[in-house]
Amino acid sequence: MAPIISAQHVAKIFRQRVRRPGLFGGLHDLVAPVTRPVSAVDGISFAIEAGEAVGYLGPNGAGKSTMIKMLTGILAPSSGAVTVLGRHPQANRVENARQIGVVFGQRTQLWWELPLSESFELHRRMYRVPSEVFARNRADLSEMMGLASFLERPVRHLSLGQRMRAEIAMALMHDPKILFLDEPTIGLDVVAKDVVRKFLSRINRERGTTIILTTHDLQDIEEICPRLIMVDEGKLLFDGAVGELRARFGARRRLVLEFVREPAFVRLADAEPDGGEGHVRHFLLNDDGRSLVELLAALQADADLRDVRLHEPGIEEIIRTHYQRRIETGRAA
Amino acid sequence: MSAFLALIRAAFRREAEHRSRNIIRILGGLVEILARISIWQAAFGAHPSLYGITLSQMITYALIGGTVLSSWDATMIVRDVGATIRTGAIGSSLLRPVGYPLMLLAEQLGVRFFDWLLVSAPVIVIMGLIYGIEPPASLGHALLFLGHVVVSLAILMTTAILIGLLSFWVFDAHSLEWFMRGLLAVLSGGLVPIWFFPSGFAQVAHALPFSWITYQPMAVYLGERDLAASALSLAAGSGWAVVLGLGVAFVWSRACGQVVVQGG
Repeated sequence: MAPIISAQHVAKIFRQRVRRPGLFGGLHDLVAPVTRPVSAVDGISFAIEAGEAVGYLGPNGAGKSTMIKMLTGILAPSSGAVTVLGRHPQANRVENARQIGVVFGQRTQLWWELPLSESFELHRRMYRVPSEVFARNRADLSEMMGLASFLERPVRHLSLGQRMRAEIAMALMHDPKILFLDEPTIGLDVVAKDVVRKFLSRINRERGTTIILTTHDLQDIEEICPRLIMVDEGKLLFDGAVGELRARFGARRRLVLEFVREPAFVRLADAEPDGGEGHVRHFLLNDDGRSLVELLAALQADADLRDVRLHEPGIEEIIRTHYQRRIETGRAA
Repeated sequence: MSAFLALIRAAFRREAEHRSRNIIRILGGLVEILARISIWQAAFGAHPSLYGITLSQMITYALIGGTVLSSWDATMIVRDVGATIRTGAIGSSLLRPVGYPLMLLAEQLGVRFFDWLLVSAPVIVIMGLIYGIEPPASLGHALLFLGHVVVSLAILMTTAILIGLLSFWVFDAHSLEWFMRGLLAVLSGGLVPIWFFPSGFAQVAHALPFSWITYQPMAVYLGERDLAASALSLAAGSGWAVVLGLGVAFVWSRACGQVVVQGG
């Protein structure tokens, strides 16, 4: 089966005005503006199958939103091709819009001055949702997202958490095949984030809705997306299962040993000491296959152990390691 | 169609939400019409008529032409489109499965209808009671006038959308807005009827579609044209509306490739 979304060597270059300083510079800009190309997305390819949930991850300015805008048809790629449900999303913007749902965490699709229920009604008409489908979706989604108490309230009076839940519910009113979410949990508190994550993963499981989600909150990805696409500076860094990320970027497990008395000497085969003082010592493990028992057997120390902790690296740590390495190599070059 | 009507209704209801602003708008409308009437009273002085136009006709022109057929506020759309482009909010509109110019049209119509009901109607009634208002010249003229109101609306909306879409190339929407305001205030006959224009200038105004916004409908209403000439004017105005509509479609097809959605 053909993938539901594909990107082939996609690039997006924006032209940015260069401003010359001073009054004469301003006049010069007016007469002969100078622009320089800024590459937001740089030759990215991937394919996503129906029913997948994919996290699209990267730091600020990595080109995440630009990619989402191209997939949703509101921007055209400078080169390369994107297809969504077999269509070119920008050339077929209206048809594409009818079959996808989109939530931008920092913008609203709701009608600010009108009660929430009116936004839903407008959505029904614009997406031509059959009445019975709409009635069922509205009831189900309102229940799952707990919207009942504020359905008749104007959107401008809703809290951010309420509004986000409403945005996501509305994006699903027309049974879209794909749901795009750009930073859906941004600015939400812990409880609201949890509601949103559980809901999205349930929608993906139960309705089979394909989900593409950009975020820089890694917990979003850990809880919703088995697959991760990581980008930085417009380029693809990683595309695969979340579990493979560690192997790929070589993040190591951390072993923390706590001793009864301060040891004079601690050594561990195939591990590198990494901080800690007094009673506590840290090691980064080179070999990921070893069990805790094996590790302790290999321990050479002159003091008794009080406690042992083994930390698996989270994606956050893996990625932090990567970015730090990038900054360091950047400095070296 | 259902989506279009729903969008008009939403824009209408949104306008109704701004209560204090609406009260100010009615007051503003009253003051503006009062000013226009005072100017014409001063201009006519002791003369019963100028160029064959009576003061009472001119007051009627100011009352209807300055409210229902006014081009002044339609320029707001230029500011709105400019703002959505500058802030990147245009992205939200483009995510909807409705043509963008159609969304703009629905938006404007909602605002316009609300304006007619809330501002134009009370201002015409109040000022009409004070200064008097002339009825249409005949039943035929009245019907042709109604046709002209539709054409006026179509030309005003398409012109506003057309200039609004230029914001995709000209990032400074403010200059566009004032350009349109000035252009329409003069060429629509909204400030001064074209029959008072110097003849060369009047010819230019007649050759452009904008006179159908205020001047042509009022000339028909007041019976300055016979029925045949009025019907011809209606046909010509409709033709202009179609041309401008095609212009919008063309400019939008070019603007699509130009879209830059600002912000993350």
